[in-house]
Amino acid sequence: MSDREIMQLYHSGAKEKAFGMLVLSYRERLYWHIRRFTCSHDDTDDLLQDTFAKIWAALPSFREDAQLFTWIYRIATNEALNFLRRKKIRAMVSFEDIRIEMERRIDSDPYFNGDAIQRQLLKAIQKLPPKQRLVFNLRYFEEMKYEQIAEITGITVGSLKASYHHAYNKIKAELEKNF
Amino acid sequence: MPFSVPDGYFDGLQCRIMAKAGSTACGHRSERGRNLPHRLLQTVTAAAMLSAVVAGSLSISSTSRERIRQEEQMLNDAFFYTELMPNDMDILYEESNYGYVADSDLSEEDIIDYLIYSGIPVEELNESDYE
Repeated sequence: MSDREIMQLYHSGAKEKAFGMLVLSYRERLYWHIRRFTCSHDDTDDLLQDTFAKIWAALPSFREDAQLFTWIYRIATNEALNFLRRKKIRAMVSFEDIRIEMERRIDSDPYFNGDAIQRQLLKAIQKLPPKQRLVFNLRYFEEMKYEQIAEITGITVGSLKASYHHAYNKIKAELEKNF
Repeated sequence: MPFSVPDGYFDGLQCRIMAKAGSTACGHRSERGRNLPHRLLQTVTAAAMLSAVVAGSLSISSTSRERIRQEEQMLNDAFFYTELMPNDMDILYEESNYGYVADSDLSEEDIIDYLIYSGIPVEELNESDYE
C-alpha cells in the first residue's frame, strides 16, 4: 500500500487500520535506520516502538504538505539522535566515548553475521561526526536522493553533498588502513 | 546490513507497537470464559461492568492525559539536528541551481568550486567549516 493510500485510509476513518498498514510498510526500514545509530537490537526495539507511538500521536496533526515518508524518517532520526544525546548526558561522556562503546557493541553483537570488511565499515562509520554519519547512512545504505535527505534533516543539498564527500573519503581511508 | 534479528521479531512487532500506541486492533480476548458455567459468567460480567464504571472515568482521563502529553511532547520536541549537527551554512542560493553538481564521485575540487561559487571566502574553506 502506498503512502497516499495509507493516508486516504486514515482520513476515511479507518485510522487503526491505516496505522497498521503504515507500521507494516515502515517497520523494517526504520528498524535498520535506527539500528545504524544504536548498534544494538534491544535499544533499536525500544526506539522503534517509541517512534511509532509518536507517529500515531502526531498523525492527526500531520499536514500533507510534507511527504509521509520524509516526515516519518524525520521522527525516527530525531528519536535516534535524542538517544545518542541522552546517552551522552547520562554518562557524562563525549561522542568519542560513545563511539568506543558503539565499536564494542559491533564486536560483541550476537546478531552480527557479516565479514571482517563489513565489521570494519561499520566501525569506520561510527568514527564519523554525527552529521556525516547520518548523511552517509541515508545515502549509502538507503540510497536516498539528496533532496529527500535535505527534507528529513533540514540541511541544504550543497552541505549534504560536501558532508557525504568527506564521509566517503574518511571511510575509504579507514578501510585502506586495514585492508 | 550484516545483522540478523531474533526469530519472528518483525512478526510480533506490529502488535507490540499498536499496543504501545494505544490501539486495540491487535487485542485478543480470552476464549476460556466460554467454558465457564453461565452463572459464573454473569457474575464476572457484572463485576467487569462495575469495575468499568468505577475505573472508567479514571482510565479515560488517564488515557487522555497520556495522549495529550505525547502530543505536547511531540510538538515541543526540539529537533536536535541543530545542536548535534550545527549547520552554519546559510541557504546559499536557489535550490534550482544545485543541479550543476554531479550526484556521485564528487572530487575535492568540485566541492571547493561549489563553495567558492556559493560565496564562501577562500580562507574559510577548510573541512571543519562544513563537518
